[in-house]
Amino acid sequence: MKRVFRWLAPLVFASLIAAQPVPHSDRHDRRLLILKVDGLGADRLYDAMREIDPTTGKSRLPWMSYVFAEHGTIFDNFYTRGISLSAPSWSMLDTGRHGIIRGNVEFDRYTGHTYDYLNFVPFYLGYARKLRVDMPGVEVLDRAGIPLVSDRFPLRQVFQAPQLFQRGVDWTSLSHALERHFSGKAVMSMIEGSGSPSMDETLLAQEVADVKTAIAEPEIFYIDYYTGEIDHVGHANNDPAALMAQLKHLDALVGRLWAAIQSSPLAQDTTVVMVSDHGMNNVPGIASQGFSLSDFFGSPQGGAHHVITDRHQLSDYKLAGLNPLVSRVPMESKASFYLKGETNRYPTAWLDVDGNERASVWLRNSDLNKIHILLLQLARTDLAPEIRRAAAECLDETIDRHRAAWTATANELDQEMRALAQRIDERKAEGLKRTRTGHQADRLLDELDDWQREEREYTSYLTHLRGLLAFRADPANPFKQKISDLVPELVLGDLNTVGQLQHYIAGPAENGLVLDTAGHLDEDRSFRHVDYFSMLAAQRVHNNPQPTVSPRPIDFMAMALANGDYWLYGDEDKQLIIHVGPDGRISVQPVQNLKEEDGHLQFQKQPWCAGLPLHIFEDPALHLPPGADRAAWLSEPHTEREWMDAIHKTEYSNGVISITEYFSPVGTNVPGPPGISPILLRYERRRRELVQPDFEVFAADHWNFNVRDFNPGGNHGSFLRISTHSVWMMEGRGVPVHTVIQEPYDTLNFASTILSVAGRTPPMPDRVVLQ
Amino acid sequence: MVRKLSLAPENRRNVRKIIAIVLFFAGYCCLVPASVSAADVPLRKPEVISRQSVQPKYYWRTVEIQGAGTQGGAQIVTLFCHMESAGSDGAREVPLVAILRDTLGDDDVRSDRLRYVWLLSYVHPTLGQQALSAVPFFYWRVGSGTKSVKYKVPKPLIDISQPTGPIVSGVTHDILQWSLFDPMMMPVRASSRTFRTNELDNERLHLEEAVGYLREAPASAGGSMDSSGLTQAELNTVIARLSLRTNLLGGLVSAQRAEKMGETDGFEQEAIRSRNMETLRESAEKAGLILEPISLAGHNSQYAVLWYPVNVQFARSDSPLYTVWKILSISDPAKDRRLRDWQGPRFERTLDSNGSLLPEGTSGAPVELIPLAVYGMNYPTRPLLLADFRDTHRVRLREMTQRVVDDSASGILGLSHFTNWYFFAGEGFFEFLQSHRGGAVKRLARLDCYSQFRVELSLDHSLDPALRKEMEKHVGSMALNPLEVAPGLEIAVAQGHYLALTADADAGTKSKLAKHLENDRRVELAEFGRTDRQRLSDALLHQASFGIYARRAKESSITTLKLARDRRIDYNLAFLDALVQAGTDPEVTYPVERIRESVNTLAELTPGVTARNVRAHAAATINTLKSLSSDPLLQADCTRAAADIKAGPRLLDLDAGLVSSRSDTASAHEADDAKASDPTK
Repeated sequence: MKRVFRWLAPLVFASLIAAQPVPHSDRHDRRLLILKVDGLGADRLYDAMREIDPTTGKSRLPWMSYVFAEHGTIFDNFYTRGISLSAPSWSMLDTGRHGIIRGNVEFDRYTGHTYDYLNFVPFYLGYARKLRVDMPGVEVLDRAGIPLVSDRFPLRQVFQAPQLFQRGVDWTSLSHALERHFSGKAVMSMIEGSGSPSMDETLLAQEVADVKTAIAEPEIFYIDYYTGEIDHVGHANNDPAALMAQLKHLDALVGRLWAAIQSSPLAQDTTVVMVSDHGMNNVPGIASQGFSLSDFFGSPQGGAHHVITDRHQLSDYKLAGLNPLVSRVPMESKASFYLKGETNRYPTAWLDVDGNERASVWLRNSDLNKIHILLLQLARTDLAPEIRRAAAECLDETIDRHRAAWTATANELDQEMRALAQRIDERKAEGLKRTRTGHQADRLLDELDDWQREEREYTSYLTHLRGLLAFRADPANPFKQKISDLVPELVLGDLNTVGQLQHYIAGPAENGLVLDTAGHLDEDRSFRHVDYFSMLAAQRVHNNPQPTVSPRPIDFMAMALANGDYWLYGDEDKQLIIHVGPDGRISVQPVQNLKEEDGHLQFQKQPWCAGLPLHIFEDPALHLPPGADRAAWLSEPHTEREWMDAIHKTEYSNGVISITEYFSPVGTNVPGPPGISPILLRYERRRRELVQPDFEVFAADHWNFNVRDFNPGGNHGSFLRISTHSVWMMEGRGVPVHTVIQEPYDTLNFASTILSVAGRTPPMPDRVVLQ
Repeated sequence: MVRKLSLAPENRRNVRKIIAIVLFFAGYCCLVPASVSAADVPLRKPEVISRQSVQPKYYWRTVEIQGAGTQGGAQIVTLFCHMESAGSDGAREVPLVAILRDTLGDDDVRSDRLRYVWLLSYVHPTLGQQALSAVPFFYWRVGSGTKSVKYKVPKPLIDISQPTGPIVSGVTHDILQWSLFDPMMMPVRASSRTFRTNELDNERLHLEEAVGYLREAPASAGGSMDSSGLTQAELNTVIARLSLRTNLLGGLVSAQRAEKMGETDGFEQEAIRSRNMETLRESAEKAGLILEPISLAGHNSQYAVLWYPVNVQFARSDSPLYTVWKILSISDPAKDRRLRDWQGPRFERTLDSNGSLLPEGTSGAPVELIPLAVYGMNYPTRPLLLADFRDTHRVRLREMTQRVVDDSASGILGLSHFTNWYFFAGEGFFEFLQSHRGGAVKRLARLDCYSQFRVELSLDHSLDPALRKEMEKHVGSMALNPLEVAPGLEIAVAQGHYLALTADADAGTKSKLAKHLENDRRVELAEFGRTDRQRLSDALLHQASFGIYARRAKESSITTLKLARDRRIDYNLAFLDALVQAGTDPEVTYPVERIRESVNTLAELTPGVTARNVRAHAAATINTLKSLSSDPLLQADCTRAAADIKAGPRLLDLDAGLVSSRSDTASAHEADDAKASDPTK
């Protein structure tokens, strides 16, 4: 009997195990419905969900309360990782990987190529003309070998609404929207004067209809819906009633989709997720004020740069501003010291000011400016011989100083261009033709177009670099070559160092080149210099009618130093260095007077005090382990989780972690597509590294740097908690019911968790929250 | 002997110069109001006034009309402005807008209707004004507009319960103009068009004035115990109806959409104001000037003054400032010789260490300021220059120029939108381009801004008196319409109109208002259940018979009870319609008891209605509700209600049955939320 039992027991056990439901992680028939809401702040939403409407006795947002609070899980402390900006944030939410897109617009330092992630119009036109298949953000991710969450599902199982990271265009949706827009009802509304819906509103309504249709399809397992309405209204308006009206609109949408899910065949297998990319600092009664960085950089004190932004400034009221295809707008500085009339060829300051509360600044390499100025001087025929000789000597020295680095760059780039040329030939040999079905061939052809453009542009830069390396200045005769043969147009060159930015060459001195006692060029007196950090920190605005808003429009600046160090500059005495060790542990050190002398950083450490960037030390919401000394704890290395627990409720929320995410070397986050050669992988990583700005400027609370419109409502882009505190709520299969998770999480946790819940492989298993 | 005068060419040129100078002065005299004179005002310190104490407060006052008609009652709900005057005349109470709420004499807010809206400051134009308004190219208000005002019950600005009424009259006017006057000789065409334009502008001026007041009105909490004022939903509806009145077909908009519109318009206004203020602030910063937002009559952040600092120089932007001057619509003060020898008022204020202007009476670094301009923030695309203190004619010339162009095109040249569409298409395109280049090209939107500014300035007592006086001097130059009266006079007559209105309300059976209300109630009763097409034909007949024909129910002792029933059906049907339109489970958004109550009320009242479309509507709504609901009790109620309604009309003993049913079913909860949601339907 015993023997029989011994034999039978494992069999029965195995049968029992087999009779158990298949664990969720192993099943692939679960559907994800993701509601992506741009700019929805968690504080605003959760407060409204908790409020009771006296007329109904129910929540002011009854559907969201019903679906997520009563039947699902709310992540009460979910934060944007990196800067609170749409393109970077959605890129991480949509992939579950560390960010490789770090602004709403990015400029390639060697080619001037613009990556404009927010502009839908060129994409739609390009798609219609069969020139583009995916939004620019998707193309960048594809090149880096980073798949979207939707890519984890077979194409036939995916319904993707129009959004920033969009693959393809569904023209039927657009045509239905047009029909809706010009329907008799809409025309009648226009005639009555009750306001016909805008095209955006009609498109959104059509998208909702399309999502409901997709929900009814049993073979679709990934559905998403994106809305930017709350972001738009939030930027324009601080009126709580207007913002509440938008939330109610969203709530009604949740109700309609919920009703559609309940009547769909996959009702029991659907997980509904709502997520936002960032919050916004809407405060009733306080209007956000603009500070024009483009005016600053175009002014003599700011270096008199010709400036490039991605959009026309609305304050210029130009008809050209109507052009929706623009991605690069040069703005002339009438005060330019040495580039008058060269606005379109030599813009030297490039700005991404789309982030409102922050701006990325790309400045042409200071030494490239020096070379340009010296070449202009050497081209003069009236230059005194001793000055000509000294200028030639200075020019050669400058080139020599970069010789090793430039030679290495040129050699590597040369190698990469050869590999790229080979790939171009291979791709051409495949004989692909453009098609509308499946898009795969179109994507490959788009990539081919990009490769060819890149090969042309990088080769041009390479030619200039080789030209500069080969150049020796003539100390006796005027320079007769074209400057554009040596100094490439629309190019920024290498990143500026801290020292260069503190001593940035903006033009020749008012009195021209000057010699020192030894007969060499006195560089301090021969050039105009700008210290950008102290100059920007000193900006004040006198038209500041709101007493609660600081007259200082700029909060602090930040940039990456070498060896995993990041520098935050408030003023000369208020600075921080955030250090990430090889083990990933983060420490923060208050310093002052950081300078770069002969390539070495010098600074004085200082004790923790109030008023430092991020204001962590004095923040009452700083939550340290019991008994820990504030100053000691903050200076010690801690894991990311420890930092998150300690700081997430402070005014700047997860700023310490976000700085490390935002400024971390981007190349290491690029895995490359499967099978890519090492040289081309290096090239792909270089391309991402080349779009990094010199430094980042963060606006003080209720200030913004927007240029495309006046933005008096809320803004975002900074690390302020109100801007980073985002929404993440889930409901459905595999999601705990009536649960509020207080533990803080950030953007990186999102995609891995929802994919895990949907039974798919998460991109970063260690970031999965709900098992 | 006749000597022929012959002048040498240079003399002829001189004569032409003299004629030009004479004409210029003639024009100048016409343009400049008589009161404008360059006063040598010395530097003055503003009176230090506590802003808190002089800010006007808006509040509601309700007067019951006990004998309104033969049955039922009504209320006149009036918006007042209470001003603590900074001057010597002490506090003032100014009635601004009155609204008649037809309550039928009961406490049930579900059967209330808002009807007439009076702008109490409205002065009906005199015959002389009307005659002048027909004179082409006459763009002046004569004196204060009128000298004598008769205090009688004013004509309502609109009747909210009959929004389609003005459509037919508007269309009739237009058809008459196109078919009768336009083909006539030019003087007739020009006169008739000028008259119509002035009439519409004057109406718009007052509609906007009323909207401006109502936007500042406090919303009452609603509920059966609170009849102190209008709820937010009511305010939204009234504002929307007033705004829609400026559109020919605006009256076709349904009550629900009107309420929504009133709400969203408010949001848009807020966004426009914030954006314009920021535009102005940035422009002032670039130009090295000082911007100060001002509050007029309690309206915050709707106006701003631009100051020129005399003894302090702020850094200007290094970028070209031509766009800035375009936005500010003024010339560069730094290059203006008039400012070097400024004869107008100067003000002494203080700056903080950062150079920001401090509130009046705050200690800081002294600065001498010259006011340059006042801007309104309500224009849709940019801040609008309302007064240029250096140039009285700038604003007036802008307005006159556009009126001259418009009147010449339509009145003189006889260009029509139908036959000369290309002209208007070209004009529209030109305006589009101008607008994108920062121009304030929308004449009617400018008129709206002006409308609000003129009365708010008259109401205001918080501004420094000298600055206010200066503004009044300049805003008067914008009065182009002969039908207009001076804003000061309007405020003065408001009290008289209010007294006349309330006196009439107290007149019992002699009350004209009560008679009017009774007639309109019978019209409402007759209209219940009529289709849109039927209503339109009624309106056409009414118009064609010059108002003699009106479809009314017969006078009856149960008119009030029938009205109460109809309104309750309307109310509950609107509530259920809103739930059904959402297409979602209704119990999630509303308590199921509340929904069942509505269903049961409909089940009880609708069978008494003979109008088929009302019954069909109710049945369809209840059936859809049943399909959406997951509550078995509600579903059962819906089944029963649908069956009752389907059973066909049955006669109700209105005197007994309805009254008892109301007392049985109307709960305090229903009554409370009724007012807050949509009682104006």
